[in-house]
Amino acid sequence: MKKRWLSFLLLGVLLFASGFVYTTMAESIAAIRDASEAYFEETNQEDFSIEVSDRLTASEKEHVRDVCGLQTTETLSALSSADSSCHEDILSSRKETLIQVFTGVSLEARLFMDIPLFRDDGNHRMRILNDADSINKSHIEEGNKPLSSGEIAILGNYARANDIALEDEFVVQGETFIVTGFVLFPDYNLPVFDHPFLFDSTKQTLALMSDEDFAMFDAPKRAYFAGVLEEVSASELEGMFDQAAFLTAPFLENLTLTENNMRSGAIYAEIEGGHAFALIVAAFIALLGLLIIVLSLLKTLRANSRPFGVLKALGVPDNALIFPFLALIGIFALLFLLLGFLAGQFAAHPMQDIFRDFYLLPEGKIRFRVVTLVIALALPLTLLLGLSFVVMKRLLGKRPVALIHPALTEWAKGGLKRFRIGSWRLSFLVRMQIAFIKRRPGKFAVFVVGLFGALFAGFFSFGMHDMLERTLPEYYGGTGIEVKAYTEDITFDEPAEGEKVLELSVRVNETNASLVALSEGQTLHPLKDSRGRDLTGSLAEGLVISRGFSDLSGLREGDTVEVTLAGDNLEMEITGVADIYAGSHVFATREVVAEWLFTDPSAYNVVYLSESPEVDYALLVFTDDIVEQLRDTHEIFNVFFRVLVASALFIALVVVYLLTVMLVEDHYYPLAMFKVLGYDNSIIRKILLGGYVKAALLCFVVGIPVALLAFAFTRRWMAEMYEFMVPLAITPVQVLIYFALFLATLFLGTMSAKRKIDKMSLKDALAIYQE
Amino acid sequence: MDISLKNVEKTFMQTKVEVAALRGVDLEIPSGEFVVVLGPSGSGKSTLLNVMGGLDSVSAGEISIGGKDIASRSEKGLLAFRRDNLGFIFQQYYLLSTLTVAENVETGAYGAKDAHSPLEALRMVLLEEHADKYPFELSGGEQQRVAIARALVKKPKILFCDEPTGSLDEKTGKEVLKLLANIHADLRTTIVLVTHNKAIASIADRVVTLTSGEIVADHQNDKRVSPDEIHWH
Repeated sequence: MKKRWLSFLLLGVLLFASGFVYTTMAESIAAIRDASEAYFEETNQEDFSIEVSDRLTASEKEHVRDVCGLQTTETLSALSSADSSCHEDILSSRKETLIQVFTGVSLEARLFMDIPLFRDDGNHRMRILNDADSINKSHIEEGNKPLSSGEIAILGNYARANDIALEDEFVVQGETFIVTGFVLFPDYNLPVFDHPFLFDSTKQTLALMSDEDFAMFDAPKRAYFAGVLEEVSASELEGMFDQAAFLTAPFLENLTLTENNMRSGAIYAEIEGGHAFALIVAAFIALLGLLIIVLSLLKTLRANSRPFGVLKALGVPDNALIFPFLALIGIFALLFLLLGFLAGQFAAHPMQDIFRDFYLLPEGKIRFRVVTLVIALALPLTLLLGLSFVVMKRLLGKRPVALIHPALTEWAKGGLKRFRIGSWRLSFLVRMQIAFIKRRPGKFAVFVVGLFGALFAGFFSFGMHDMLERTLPEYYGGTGIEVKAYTEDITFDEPAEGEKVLELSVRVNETNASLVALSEGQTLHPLKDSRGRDLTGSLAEGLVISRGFSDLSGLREGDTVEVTLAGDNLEMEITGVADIYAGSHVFATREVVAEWLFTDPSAYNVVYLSESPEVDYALLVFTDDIVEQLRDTHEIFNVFFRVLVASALFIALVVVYLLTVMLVEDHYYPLAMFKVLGYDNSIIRKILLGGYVKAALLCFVVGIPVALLAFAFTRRWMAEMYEFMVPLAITPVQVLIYFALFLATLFLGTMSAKRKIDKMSLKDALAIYQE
Repeated sequence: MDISLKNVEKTFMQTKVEVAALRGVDLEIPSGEFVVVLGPSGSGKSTLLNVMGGLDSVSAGEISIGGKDIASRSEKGLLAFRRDNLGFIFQQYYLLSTLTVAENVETGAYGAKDAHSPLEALRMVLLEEHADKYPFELSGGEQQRVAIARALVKKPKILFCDEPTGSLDEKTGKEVLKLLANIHADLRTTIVLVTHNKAIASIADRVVTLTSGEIVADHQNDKRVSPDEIHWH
């Protein structure tokens, strides 16, 4: 086996990778799991959340008018600024109502304010949360909790990214605070401002103030209710979320179990599935290594077939012949696996940081775990030694004469499938290619499955590339909106500039949606369907829904739906599906919605502007900032997707290389026969490899519609599971690029096989016949 | 097609020692002759067959077939020449296990300018009914007959046979020899057969005896007998 240095090098790399991948993943996830479990327990993480309408119900408005003396307040957030005591009354009342609906749980109102931060490097955003009493308590990672006025705690990730240290000054809307600590909140779904999954901790932060400052801070406070299951199970709780609940609590919008929340679901899946995933990846890499070992064993045994045969004839048992090989493989594998394990111990630190940055979790301790060492080494080693033993047993299990004269017994009856190549009209070459493929279905299946797996990973990686670009950036890119200026409450006065819009959270049949009611004749927010046809005309006739909402809800054009908001219902027909993937948007005419909800067609709560406003608003949202922040996070994902594409192609390369080389090894005698019969090398290559190359190309072609189907399935599955749109798509240009890369992979993969075919001289071929 | 060898030498390097397999071989084989090259193991008879068939190069000397020098031809030129003119039969049949009998025969016709159909070739060796079987479903003698059909399918002008009965028992060996004798009689194909079995020599027109790489005897066989009449060794 001395001369097989290239195979051994590849084997060493694969074994190292196997130990490395498993250790890195297992150690980082174990550290996060331990730290997170303690953190969730300490902070009493919510089991579920209840979203409630910001718009006040009719009875609440009556209370606000009659008891608090506020005549025009329409929303809870506006009320928080106008009268904090009245605001607390409404929240308490809502909590009591919810406890009647959802029995056996405890609830706590969660308040938060979204604040823009204007910093030197651009606009940042901050979400200030109240300091909860019992559910979702804050966790100070470093420093102290802000207890006095003028103190603030922010995210450690944000502070590090922006060179902010403890005791530094930090300005929020003109007020200066001292950073006393770095904080985390267990309801980590909260930090997501514009996207249900992504969070840019370089430009977005959570914050905690003293109770006094939080109460006094001049910004509208929005609310939801965090809950913990006390005497009911999660499924029982879901059972209570029915039509009757909406009748009792008309402000009710949605109930989300923490395990079903996109981000918490993802971290649970990461913790629970990460270990299994690492095991599978490590085993898969080890299996690739096994292919190399089988290849080397095949070569070695073929080269030494005669001496082995003689030894067997002399009575040496198979196991005595096998043992030295197994010992060599074992020592070699152990060495590289151990190196992989040690490197994995170091890599677990940065890997944990990646998870922590993304999910906003506390730091866990990476420590040496015997169980990781045992699995990282034992699993691949058992696989390699066990399967190597089986392979060698099969190869050496022949009778001595078969080993001494291998060519005599080259009749491979096993696995040869009786099959007639029906038409003699097919060319000789094609029939030979079919014969070499179809009569060895097992080997062909390994080739196709291996290749298809690698191909599919590539398709998925391409599909995910720029996926997020198809959400908010594409949405805002298609409009002329530069700034969204939010008023403090529903407003009826004519704005100084811009287009009046009503943005409200509604339910459309059973699904939550964000209703964007646009003024008639507005031009800043065009609506187009997938064929580019203008849908603004359809708005006057009913409801236009986004493609994302259509996928989430299953609703289609022509359906009649019931739109519900804080107890008011309106029946509407869906008159179009806009080609928008960002969020669960539904669009209607503002005048119709304003008349329906506020009995005044001039009502609005947002102004869409093409440039910065000249007057003050409660909140300004710059669409460029949203897009930029999403792209910042997006870039990390794109790097990740590129790594995936490269990995998929590398695996494809290894699969094609190993299988084609094995193919040639396997057809050693036919190859020699063709040489003796006077076949040109190019013809032999076509016969032995041509069928497989064609099959590989066919795999690619078949892979395209299969990938598109898988994209659709994944989109639906993610929508049902997490109410999250994954707009997977692959463009014709991407298909062409992938095809070119695939061809190059195929070419490189078959190069070695071609070289082997060309390298066998007639003399070698003759020697095989005259052995 | 005549075969002409002039002062042909072939040496091999065996663990740094030069070993002469052929020493100054001169041989003329006229077209249509059935020649048996006789010799013990290691006498150089297979090497002689290989260099005549363009399967191996010579160290010195000249070889021409049909008046064309083949010793100086390129690998590619030799390939085409072999494909168009020569057929080979080996001691081991080396049929391809994944191909049917008919397909195995067809591999012999690939690229030939004028070839029989695989079924015609199989008819010549009386195996037409086995066309769709796989080689492992046939006996040793039948497999060798498939190998002969594969050699015959492209209508070769010369047939080189290297111990074609070496792996067969007497009965099937004689059947194979009868087949070769019939082919020679019917098609007037030049046949060069190398063997260590002296009995086989009696079926040939001419017997060339080789010892230690040198021709030590070369005579016409006046008492040709049918394969059925020979006494197997």
